[in-house]
Amino acid sequence: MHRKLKKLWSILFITVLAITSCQKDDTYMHHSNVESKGFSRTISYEELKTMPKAIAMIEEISEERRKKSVYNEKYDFTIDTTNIELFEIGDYHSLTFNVFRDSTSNSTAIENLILNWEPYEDYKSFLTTYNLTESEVDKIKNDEKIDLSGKEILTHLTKFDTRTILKSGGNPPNLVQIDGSCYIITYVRTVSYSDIPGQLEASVWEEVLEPTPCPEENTNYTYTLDPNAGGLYIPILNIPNPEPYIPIPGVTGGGGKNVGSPFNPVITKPKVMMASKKECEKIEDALSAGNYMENVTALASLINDPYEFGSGLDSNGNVTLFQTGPDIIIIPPPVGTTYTVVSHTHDSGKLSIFSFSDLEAIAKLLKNEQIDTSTFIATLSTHKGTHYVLTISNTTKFKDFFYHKFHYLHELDLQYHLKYENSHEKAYNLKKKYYDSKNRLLNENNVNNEMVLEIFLNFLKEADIGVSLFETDENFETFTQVQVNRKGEIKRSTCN
Amino acid sequence: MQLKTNIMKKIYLLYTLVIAFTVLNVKNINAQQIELPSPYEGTWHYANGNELFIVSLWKENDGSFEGYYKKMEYNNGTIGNTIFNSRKVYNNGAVFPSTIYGSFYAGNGISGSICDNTMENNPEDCKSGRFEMLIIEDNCGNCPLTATWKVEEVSGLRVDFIPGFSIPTDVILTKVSNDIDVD
Repeated sequence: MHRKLKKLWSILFITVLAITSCQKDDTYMHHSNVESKGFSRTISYEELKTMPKAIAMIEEISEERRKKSVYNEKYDFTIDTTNIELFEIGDYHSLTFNVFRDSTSNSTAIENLILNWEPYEDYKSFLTTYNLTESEVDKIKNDEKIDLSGKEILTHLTKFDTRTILKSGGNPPNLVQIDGSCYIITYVRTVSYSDIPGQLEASVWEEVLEPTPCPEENTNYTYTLDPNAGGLYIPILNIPNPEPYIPIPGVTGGGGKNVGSPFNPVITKPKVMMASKKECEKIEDALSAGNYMENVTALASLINDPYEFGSGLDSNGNVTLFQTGPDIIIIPPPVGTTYTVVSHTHDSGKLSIFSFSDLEAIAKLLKNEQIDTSTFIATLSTHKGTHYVLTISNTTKFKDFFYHKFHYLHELDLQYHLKYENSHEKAYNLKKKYYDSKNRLLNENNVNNEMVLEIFLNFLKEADIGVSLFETDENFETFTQVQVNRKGEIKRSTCN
Repeated sequence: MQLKTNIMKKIYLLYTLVIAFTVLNVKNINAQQIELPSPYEGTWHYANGNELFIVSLWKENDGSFEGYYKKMEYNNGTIGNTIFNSRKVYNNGAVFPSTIYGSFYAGNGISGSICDNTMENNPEDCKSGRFEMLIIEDNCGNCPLTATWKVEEVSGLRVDFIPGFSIPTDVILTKVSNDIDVD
């Protein structure tokens, strides 16, 4: 009897276990993935100070410098300290900063400063330079993986003093000396495995030695070329899907063929300026024309009025006031001109963000050649207290989304029929989902402006409409680009 | 001994419950996978004098609704010539895509976007609007289904704006068939 009882308990236990374990599979895998991949996230300068490994390194720089940027004279670039990306894998982590140069620079490459933590040593500084296409940059913004083969150059900034960013950093000027001459080593990634999710990279890098005058002080750092090396293997932890760090024999530590090289893993991931410089300049140029700013701020002061108001600034600098009422009817700009700015308000019953009809109207203006996307911006101030600027950052995408508004189906050749149908279907299905159905995601009654913004940004992403959005204040003085990452979360970056 | 028997009975009962619960769960999942025709699918009429407004709706694979509308001549119960049809067929072989896009939500019927491509002075563009369609519940067993049909403007900036729609914006539709004829 007792044996039977035990047997019964076992069957029951196995049955329950089978059912419950099936239910938890997904959860387990999810956590498992997260833990095995390491993670990256954006941190503030304030948070940087709280990091145990970094707190001792923070320089006592002025509050003003912390808030904005730090110019590095030696390398003639400016480091954006408002938005820092922390990448962590096991005992390793790196801090990635956006780097920008003044407008005289002709380079279109994306540059990042990497402060790479090396256990028991210090932060080492690297400059990563990426030559990427617009499409690849978009993928990075969406946290999608790209193949960096031949597109990334890693330079060890031997002269970069981390004390400009961190307190007592202190990369020694470890220039390499070969036969009495000094060089800065640049590593060019020639083979990358970054397109293989989850793979630890041991990318092949070719070294480039750039002669540089030797410092007056004697350096203890020497470097011996290994004729049998056949390229350097710098383990690059592949963010965001790397395996946990596993020491690679002969690469880490003091042994192996690469003695004297930066052996510790350098954690890199392209970090692009979220705020598009081009779009920021577009806003600045458009709003600085004539006295139009007075119109914009005057409109912003009318948000409590039961009617909506609007105005436009044309390319000759003249202002046109639009018909006021429940809706704004845009008066065409004078012949031979285009609108540089179209501004309007939303009253209390309207959304705290641009409506689909606003976007359709902008598409019609473009179709009628009444705006030029290289200069055009649209501003919006709402009763719910939000102020936004919208630009068309990718005209091709914008025209593709509204292809059905730019063409008449009966005039199109056969090969374009499907494109028209797809554009029509996509636009109306998204309009239904976000703006029109009873359970629409963007609802006029929603007073949670942050939630509405996030939903609108996800709409822009799903529509792939080529539009950029900026938050601003009631005086339209500062502009912050708002986008969503792959997880649908808002990312902000201020126009400098 | 009696105690052990009782424990065994309880364990058998518990085990049976666990198995039954699992089986029922599977049955529920199967039941959810069975597609039932929606009462909104089909042909709906609204007669106004000598004109008949016809809405044709069907369900897409993803559960959403699409459709067309048209207006016909109507005399003494006889449907005549087409006045307009949102399903335009052009000489270049193109067929205008669906002009009604709706989603069903319990309690709210079908609602979504409508494209009015039959407006005078706006023949080839598509004026966007919102629509709602809700079946009217009644206790009449043999009566045809009826539903409210509402179309409204959506707010926003206007360019080349023509107010109103070519179609009824607040009427009661009557269902006449589960099938559709969009030609």
